[in-house]
Amino acid sequence: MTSPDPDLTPEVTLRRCHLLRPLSERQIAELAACSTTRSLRAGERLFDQNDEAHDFFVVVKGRIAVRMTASGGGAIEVFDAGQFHLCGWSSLVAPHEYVAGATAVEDSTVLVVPAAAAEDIFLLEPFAGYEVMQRLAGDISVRLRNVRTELLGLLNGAGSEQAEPAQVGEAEPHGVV
Amino acid sequence: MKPPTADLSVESTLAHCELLEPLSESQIAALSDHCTMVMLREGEALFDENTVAHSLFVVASGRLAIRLATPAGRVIEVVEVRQYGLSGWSSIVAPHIYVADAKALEDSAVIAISADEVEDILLREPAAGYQVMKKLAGVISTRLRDIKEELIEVLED
Repeated sequence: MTSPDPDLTPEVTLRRCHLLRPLSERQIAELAACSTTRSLRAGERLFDQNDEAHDFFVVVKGRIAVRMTASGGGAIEVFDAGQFHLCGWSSLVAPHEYVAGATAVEDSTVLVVPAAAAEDIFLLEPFAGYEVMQRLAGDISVRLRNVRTELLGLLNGAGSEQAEPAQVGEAEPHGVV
Repeated sequence: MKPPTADLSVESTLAHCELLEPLSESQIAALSDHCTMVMLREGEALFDENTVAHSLFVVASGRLAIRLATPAGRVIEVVEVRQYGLSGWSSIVAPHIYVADAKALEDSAVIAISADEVEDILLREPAAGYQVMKKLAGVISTRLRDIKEELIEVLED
């Protein structure tokens, strides 16, 4: 596994994450101070579907696949989170349970940010915190629309004989999973 | 708990709306100063899917059905919104497009508030606004989980 780019400090990585853009320099610095770095090998799990969600993650390097599975074995590929994308947003909202599982597609490095600490930092400047949460709600809403569109397409017959896991939606411009 | 039709004042209705629970009394009062009442007959549409979302709604009395259906008429998602329930949340998050249709299941009275006014009032006390937006993100997240499960079921059929 190669080392992450030394120029990619936690502050730089967090600053380049779209969802966190409303935060002040002070808030970014505090988030960086409470984050830790985790390296994953290709194929290694970051979190499991339905686990209690305590942390969110920002990709420093590599790629994380987020996939939702059913008890019957069916699965949908929800999203690939690339560099500076955030995943594990379920940690920030009730019921604080990951709605999908996440696995490294390639050797990857992520920043691990405890959600409880992040929320305290968001609320240091609640106007910025409000904007972060509004962006998050908007991004989940776009994802909801994409999944609905996919479902409507399947019910209308397009791709109804698909055997492989479906790729749902487009890569999000905001990089939120 | 109050009976469902005991108090239909606008302020009381807004104060009973769970999503708006983090707001202060002055924010609730400000919202009630900027709202209008919409009366709907059974079957009448409140808003249509894919239209620009300008308003947020809280049910004062009656019931709404939020529906997503295929062109052939197969309904894939139904959410029933009852008294004090909120609909039209797409108006306060990007891309500000309603993601489903809303129709009255029975004669209903609905409080309508301009989304711009809502945002101004939420930001008067941004910590409370943050909590409202966090609750909303949780509601949308739950909806997303449900519909993903439905999608997986369709793929497994």
